[in-house]
Amino acid sequence: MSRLVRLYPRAWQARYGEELEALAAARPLGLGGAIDLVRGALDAHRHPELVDPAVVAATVREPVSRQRYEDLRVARRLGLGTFVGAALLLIAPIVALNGPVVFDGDGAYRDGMAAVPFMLAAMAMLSGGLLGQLIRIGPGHRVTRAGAILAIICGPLWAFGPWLVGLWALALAGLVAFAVGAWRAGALPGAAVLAIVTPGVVNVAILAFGIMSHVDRLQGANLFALAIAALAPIWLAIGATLLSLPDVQDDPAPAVETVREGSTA
Amino acid sequence: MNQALAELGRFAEPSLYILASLADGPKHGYAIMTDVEAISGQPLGPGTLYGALARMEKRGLIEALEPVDRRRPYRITGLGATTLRHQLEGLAGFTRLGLDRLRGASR
Repeated sequence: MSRLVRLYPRAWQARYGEELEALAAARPLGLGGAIDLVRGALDAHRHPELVDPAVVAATVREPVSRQRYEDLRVARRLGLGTFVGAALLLIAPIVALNGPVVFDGDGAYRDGMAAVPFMLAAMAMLSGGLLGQLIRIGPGHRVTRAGAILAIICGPLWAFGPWLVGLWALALAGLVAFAVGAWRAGALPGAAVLAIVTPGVVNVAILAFGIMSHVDRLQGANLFALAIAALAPIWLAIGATLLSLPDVQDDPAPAVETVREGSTA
Repeated sequence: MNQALAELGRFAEPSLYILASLADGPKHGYAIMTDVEAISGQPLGPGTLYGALARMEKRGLIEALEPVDRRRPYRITGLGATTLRHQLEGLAGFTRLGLDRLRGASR
């Protein structure tokens, strides 16, 4: 139980840690209680502002400038694009697996070049979604931003040559850094982080299995297609968090002034 | 659902039970948990309990008192009592209406 309390943010532990431990000492909580505590810890990371007055709620609707409003509208549209990217990502392996079987000196392989435009478009849409996330998160959060930028650059580059797995490893590392950083900042829900990290792990596991089990090139293409399709939740998570932005649902009051950089207003 | 409680999302229902539990005096976490279980017949997990307590404290529906032996009692505030009263009166009106209609239908 006390180990599970450590899953809470520090401010929560400082405020409620002793009480939670006293609660556990009074009565064993069982599996259901432990699951509820983990769920509570995820919620606490999403809402650090509840116990830490220095943190502003990510979901609180506050007056926003006209410029910020327009920026968030763009972010929301990029989220829609990311959903389209998820569809393209699922089409790409289908196209690749329907490519012609070609024979060369090393045997047969499937020519999946027809899938490259779909992969490229899907990666571009993911980069767009990550750009939307950068707009949404705003300034600061250096690790989060660095991770997103790494993925924005390396993802589309990888689409040009899917055999360049180093580029994909960098893109994945960037995605994980972005997701965990945004989660720690309270800007991304725990479920979205799981939807980003888990497919990445599954993708790497499938690719590693393919490499280590020395499958032939035709079977390797099948595994590669499966590994690509497994990534779709990443696109959906990035897109969904942009589409659910609370502060772009309604037009802000027109009287809200825009404060431009360099102005003294 | 009362606006102040509706804003609490999935914590709205546990919060209502917690407010009802605190209506007869301050209680600490464990006492709230067992009381809510007795009222609702459903177990209240520690994560849900403290998620709801944090939200209610933030909104001024309850306040924390000085801890006693690592246990911090919570007390319902005036705003919390008003919120609970409005919610219960709304539910009572709804209950009366529903029962009246059922009686009317069975005649």
